[in-house]
Amino acid sequence: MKPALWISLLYLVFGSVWIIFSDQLLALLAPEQRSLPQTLKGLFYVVLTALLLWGLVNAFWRHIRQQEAYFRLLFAENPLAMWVCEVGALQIRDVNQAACRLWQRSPTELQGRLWSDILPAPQALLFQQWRDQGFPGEGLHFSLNQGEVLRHLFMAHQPMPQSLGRQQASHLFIVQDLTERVEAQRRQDTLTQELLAQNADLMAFTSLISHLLRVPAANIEGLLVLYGQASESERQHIIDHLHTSSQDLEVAIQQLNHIVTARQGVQMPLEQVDLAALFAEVQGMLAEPMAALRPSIQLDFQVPHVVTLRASLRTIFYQLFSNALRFRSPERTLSLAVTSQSTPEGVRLSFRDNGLGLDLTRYGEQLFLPYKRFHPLNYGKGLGLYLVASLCRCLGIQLSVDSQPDQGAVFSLLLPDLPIQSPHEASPVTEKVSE
Amino acid sequence: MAESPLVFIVDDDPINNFICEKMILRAWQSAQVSSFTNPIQALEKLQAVTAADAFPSYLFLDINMPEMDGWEFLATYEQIPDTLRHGCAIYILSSTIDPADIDRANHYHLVSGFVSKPLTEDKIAALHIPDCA
Repeated sequence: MKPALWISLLYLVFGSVWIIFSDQLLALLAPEQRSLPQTLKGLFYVVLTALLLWGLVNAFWRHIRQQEAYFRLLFAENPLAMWVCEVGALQIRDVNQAACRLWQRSPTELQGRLWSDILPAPQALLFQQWRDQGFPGEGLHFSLNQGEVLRHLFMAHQPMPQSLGRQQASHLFIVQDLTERVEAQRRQDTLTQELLAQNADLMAFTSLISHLLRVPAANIEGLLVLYGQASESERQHIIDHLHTSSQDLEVAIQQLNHIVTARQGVQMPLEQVDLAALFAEVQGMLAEPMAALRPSIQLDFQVPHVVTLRASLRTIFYQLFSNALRFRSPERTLSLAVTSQSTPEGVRLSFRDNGLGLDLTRYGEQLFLPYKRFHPLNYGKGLGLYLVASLCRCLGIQLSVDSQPDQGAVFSLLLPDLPIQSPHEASPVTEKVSE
Repeated sequence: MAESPLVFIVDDDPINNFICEKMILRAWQSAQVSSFTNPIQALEKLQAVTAADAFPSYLFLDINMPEMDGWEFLATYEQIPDTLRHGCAIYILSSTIDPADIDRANHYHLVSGFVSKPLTEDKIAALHIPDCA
């Protein structure tokens, strides 16, 4: 029976009974005051007011129903996951569609279950601690693995007291999926770090340009000034130095070109590179020092091919080989071992030599910075490892070094597995990697 | 200026040192020039001096050197007693175009000034001549 009807009927019954019995009592106490019209008037009043009451309650109840339907819709269709639990054991009483999607269960699977049974163990412990503290703060941040996706969630709690329509107090939980926001923040942080790194690189590059180009240029300028007033014997010296400085300038321009090209992530297709053939080509480029030093070379390419930019990998090979020749130990014949192995993360290339080695405790942080040299030998501009590191960064290669003074060095390059690209698919490989 | 000023050149670039020696001898015919491609050797030489008149009057110092850069050199140089080094004018001789380096050189308390490479007779003539002991 609708509330409006039974409320008004109840009022009608009690009101009528009151009118009739009150008139009877009055008749007993004062018979001369007995009046039938009075009784009828009273009953009529009760009937009228009962009708009024029925109408008011009906209207009011309809309004409540509409409000209930409205809030029910807000709950059921809300994009935020919501569910209501009973106080105590937190038995789930009601869930919305978003909560079903979040927990990947149907409403019937969730309703009636204990909340502690729904959460995985680590999150359940976290939630229990939050509950034991009385749900402090604005809410609870937690992560949840759903297949391959790690979701970042924020759970808020709202106590709901007992009231009309609710037999007892309950808890309302609302969960917001912050995964997209967290990922966007992470991308922004990564971008910021990249920009800061690029800015630092740019500043280092500016310094590099000033030194690489200006040093030979300044020397050429000074030598030309000297030449004008030099004696015959001095002129030959000056010409020799001019020769050296012009070669330094040429080398500097080549190295800068390498670095600029690597930093811009040149649009060239990735190709399959035969490691043995590439190494043989680099040996040919260093034929003269090779013939003089006659190093022992061991090659073991268990992985014979890699997919990368051939020209850049050749430059890396050249720099590492050249360094090994340059910084050999005077106490022993240079020995070089180059290997390639397959690992779960990709192909690992290793360059091992028995040369002078590096003091990584002293120079470790400067190893791949421009214009840094680590041996008291006045040779080179200190750019070889900087160039190697720049190229590795642009190719997505992880570069690491293991060395001790006078114990040689092992340069390790981890190449990611990349697909071969056709020329029209060419895109720069600019993934930042740690060094 | 001393009759035969002692000049030190500390730069890892032997060509620059050659240029500096020639230019200095053209400007100061009686100068005694010693050049060092290793800054550590230069410091050892300076630390071995026991008399102020045996200390160089001029020191041209490069910034970018292996093992030890110009600023690290100056930090160690400062530990030499002032009684020995007070008559020595240090000039940073560098090819750098970094405004920070140039500013630092011009404001470093041990440095008399910044000279841009190459060192020439005109630049030598413009150098501040220190009071000699």
